Amino acid sequence: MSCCSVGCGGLWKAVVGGCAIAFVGIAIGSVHSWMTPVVLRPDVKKIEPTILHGAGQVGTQTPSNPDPTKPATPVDSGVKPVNTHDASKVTPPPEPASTGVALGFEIKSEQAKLLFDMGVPFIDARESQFFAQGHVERAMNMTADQVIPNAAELVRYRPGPIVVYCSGGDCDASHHVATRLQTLGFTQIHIMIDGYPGWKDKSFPVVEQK
Amino acid sequence: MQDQTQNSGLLASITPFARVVVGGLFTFAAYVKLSEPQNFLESVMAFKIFSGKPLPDHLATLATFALPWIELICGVLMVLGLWARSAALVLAGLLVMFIVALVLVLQLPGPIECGCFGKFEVPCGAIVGPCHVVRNSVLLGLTALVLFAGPGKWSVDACRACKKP
Repeated sequence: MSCCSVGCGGLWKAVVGGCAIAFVGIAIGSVHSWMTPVVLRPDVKKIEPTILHGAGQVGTQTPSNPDPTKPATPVDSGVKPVNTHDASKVTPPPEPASTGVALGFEIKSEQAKLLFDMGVPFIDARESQFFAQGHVERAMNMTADQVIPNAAELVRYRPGPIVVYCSGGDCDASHHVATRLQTLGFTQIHIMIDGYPGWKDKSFPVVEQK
Repeated sequence: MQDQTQNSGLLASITPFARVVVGGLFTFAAYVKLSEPQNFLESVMAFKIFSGKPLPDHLATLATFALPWIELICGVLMVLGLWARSAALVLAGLLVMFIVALVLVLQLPGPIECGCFGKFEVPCGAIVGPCHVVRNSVLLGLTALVLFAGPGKWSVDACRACKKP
């Protein structure tokens, strides 16, 4: 007995049937996609920059010509970076009159550290096993699909700024979390683009698995 | 060579099992993806296998919805044993595509979520690894069995063949 029971005719019928199934699936999927909104990425135009004032106060301002996609541009150099290793070397920043550092949507770990020192919440968007191996001190572990179920815990941080990070490089997990945060009404969202590796490389505060 | 919808012996016992296992898994996977399309879209976007870039936006959105519907239709047809060979051919094509994509993703740096079964990624876990390639290869083998040996007994196709004079 032949182990292959499909002949040329049968194979041809399978191909025609398969094309028909694929066509129906694509048609139904197209209709479904029109009916169901999905968000590909956060709407950066709706992200407000966070203004860091000299005395460590965090504020928000809607500048006349904001560009949240650009990294922070010091409006005034009144705020100096804080050295976490030796507190005696910390230079208290002078009080600028009405200017500060504007932090945009994507920031580096040095800028995120300024927010960290002011108690801004951090979200680690990586999977739990990577979070357990090491994460930014005080960071919450939350992947994109966990944001909406934990909305009640998150909304108490509104309307202030929030920092999200993942593995740096091409990692998109932080952007997906930012997308969900935007649906919850957050407007001051910052992505730490060099991620946990960048933060750790600069010896900023971390919690690591022993 | 005549097209036969029934086999005897070992194949006749295995093919219904393969049909139901593959069909059931794909039906479940489709349900998970269709119930949370935003999560699946993010998994699709993470597969940056085109020179380090994801699919264009409109293709990513279409794939997010069309793939699960194709899986659902084929999965149900496989379970019922109705047009099983056509469904098996489509699923085999999808599995080959998934295996190629997984192998390419394994070359990328950083952990990437499979998104195949949403929160129910067993036994391979959420992050893409060699286990996913092995799992899909096993499914491809079972699907090829149905494609070449037919749906076997306890299938609508077999009942229809029996009723023909």
